[in-house]
Amino acid sequence: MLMYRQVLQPSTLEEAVELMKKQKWTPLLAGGCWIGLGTRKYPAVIDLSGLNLRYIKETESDYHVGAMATQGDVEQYEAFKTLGKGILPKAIHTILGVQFRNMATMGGSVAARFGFSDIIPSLLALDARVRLQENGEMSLLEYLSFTARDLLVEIIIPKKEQSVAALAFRKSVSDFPYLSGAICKNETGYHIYVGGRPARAIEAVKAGQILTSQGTEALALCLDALVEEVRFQTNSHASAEYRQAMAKVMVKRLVQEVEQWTCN
Amino acid sequence: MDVQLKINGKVTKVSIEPDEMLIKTLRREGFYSVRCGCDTMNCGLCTVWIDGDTILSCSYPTFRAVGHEITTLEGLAEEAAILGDCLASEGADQCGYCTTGMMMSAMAVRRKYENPTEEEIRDYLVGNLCRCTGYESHMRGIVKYLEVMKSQEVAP
Repeated sequence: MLMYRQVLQPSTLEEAVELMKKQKWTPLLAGGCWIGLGTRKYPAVIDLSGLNLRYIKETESDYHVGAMATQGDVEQYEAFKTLGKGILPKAIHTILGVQFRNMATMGGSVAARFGFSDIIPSLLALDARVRLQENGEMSLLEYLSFTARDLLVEIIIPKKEQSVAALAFRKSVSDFPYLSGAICKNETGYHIYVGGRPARAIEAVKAGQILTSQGTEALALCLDALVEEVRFQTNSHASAEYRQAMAKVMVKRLVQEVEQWTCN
Repeated sequence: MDVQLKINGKVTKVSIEPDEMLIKTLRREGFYSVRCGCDTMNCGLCTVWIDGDTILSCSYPTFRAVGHEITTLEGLAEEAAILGDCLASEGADQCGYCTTGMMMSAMAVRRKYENPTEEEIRDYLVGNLCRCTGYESHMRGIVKYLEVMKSQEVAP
């Protein structure tokens, strides 16, 4: 269990980042899920629940998901049921139970950059961006390898038309996926994302480029390039070899799905 | 920390540790329906409602509950008795340890959906583990309870 002596409760974003700067090692408390699994003791935590970040708003071009919106909030949000054929609620639905999803936050899911995340590949396929308090907006893909300590304020999901699909392979219902991935086909071509390697999700750039320039005829070439450029490792859930073999199957299915998408 | 909590409609002043989880506070206040099964957010035994949403009290810091409505099984005693009877009549009580948390999910389903399908009920129960593996009887008991509540025209 995460232990701490003091709860710091900033009420503005400015206050929160000031605290983060002054106390470099003080963890941020978002939904508080997973904290039960560690045994670390901290002098204090910075509580993010007083920043009014639990919201989902719409502008003409985007959806804005506040960092403290829960997974359940997003799962139940009407417009997300149709955006990308419901890719986001579908990905979220597989995460543990209702109670967990009522607590786990979108900001926590993204900022932790969990390799096993079901949500991150789908957000990548939707071309999501993030807004940080200090560093402003950047693409989610960029954020995944961004290391400076900053406060994630919201996730921005564009309303644009694009064909997307996501898949996650797991040993049993409600377990972590041992492999996850998503695909997006839009005006810039194909973009393939692979997560659960078990490291965090990345874009398989070369594999995507092959499909973009040569079409789905070149699927075999694309899959060869995929396992060439994406690094897999072994952990308790699957071996590197197994992940590599299954990644080919996964991406093949993703391509098939996204192709059907366009025809409909 | 001294905080005010609203538990089952009643405002109570409690003194808590900053890192205290809600389950600990609730049990100390005498709400023994809230049980700890795993302490790692997996089993659902500690399910309570915050503003009507089911959450896991083993991992919900008590300080966060300030300003929100906490509901435990004790606050739903009448309805819980009906549900309990339906579960018992289907042989779904078995050892009974997981039952209270599962009942909090079952009663939340009724408020969430007007006519929940078995699929929707199951969705709500995924986060409630039963070591006796009485899942089929849970389902029968809950379906029966939903019918009883409907026939009695009890508003959610």
